[in-house]
Amino acid sequence: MFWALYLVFGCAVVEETMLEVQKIFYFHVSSAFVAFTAYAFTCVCSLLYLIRKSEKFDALGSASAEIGLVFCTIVLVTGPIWARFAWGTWWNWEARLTSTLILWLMYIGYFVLRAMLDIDLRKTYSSVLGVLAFLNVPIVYYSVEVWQDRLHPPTNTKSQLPPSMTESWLVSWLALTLLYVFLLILRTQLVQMKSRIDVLQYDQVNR
Amino acid sequence: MLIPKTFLFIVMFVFVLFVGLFLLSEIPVIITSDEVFLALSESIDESVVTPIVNEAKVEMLVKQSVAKLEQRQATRLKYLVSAYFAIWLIFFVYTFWLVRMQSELLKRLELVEKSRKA
Repeated sequence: MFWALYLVFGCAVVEETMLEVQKIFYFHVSSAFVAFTAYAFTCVCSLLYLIRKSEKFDALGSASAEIGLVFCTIVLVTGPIWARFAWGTWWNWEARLTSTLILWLMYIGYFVLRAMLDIDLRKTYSSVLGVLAFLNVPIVYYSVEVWQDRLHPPTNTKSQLPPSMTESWLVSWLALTLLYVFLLILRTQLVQMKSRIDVLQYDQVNR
Repeated sequence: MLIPKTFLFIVMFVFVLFVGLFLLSEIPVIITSDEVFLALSESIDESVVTPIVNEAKVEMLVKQSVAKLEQRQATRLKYLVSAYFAIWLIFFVYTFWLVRMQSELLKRLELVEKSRKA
């Protein structure tokens, strides 16, 4: 993370149109990719839970969805700051912004569902939603091409970046991905710890 | 398992370091030729329409241009710092929430084990 911050602020060349504000890009785009990775992992774990009914996959899937939500929140917070400077408005109902907001709301729904239902129903239904919500990720990614909105750059823009910018972006992406893995391990341990306590309490009550 | 607390400390440390470096360091003025041209032409437009005739006038225009450049850079830095502040605030709040959850779970575990022994 230190290396990423050093590259972003110390080494990456300043872009000519947006100047310093362009440096938001490195963590904004990286957070978006990490959120997509987290949701893809949730989708895989949800599928595995539906097939094998193993507690481990439910714990991993819900932990990953939660961390994905954190990264998606970062995208939705830093995006408007960029937009205010670049487009003169905090929000624009453009395809990518709208689809990202829908994605965020879907995962809010995932946790609302988990909070509402009984323990067994919760795992099954949230796994189904975990799979369905992931279908929105390709929509978000290709929204610029599909709806021909030109506020966001097309998906192949990274190949046009100068080397120092590409390096800074890749290192930021790597740093945030490692942070995601670390948080995932931590959060899964807490979920498993909570389940163990619930089982112990349940045994005590029924003894 | 003390990892969340350590992690919270690291998040705070990076945040303080980032803000500290930003406040203490001299921020280099990054300007492009387009920016200089724009600021200079705006300053000329704002001055009297008559052509520049003396050095004092030129000096005043340059000062105005520099002030405009600095003002613009300050605005841009506000956006940049706000974005990174928001990112770290989100990480901080989430880690803090994890630490609280962990301490609550440890308390619950202790209670359950106590009552099991009793």
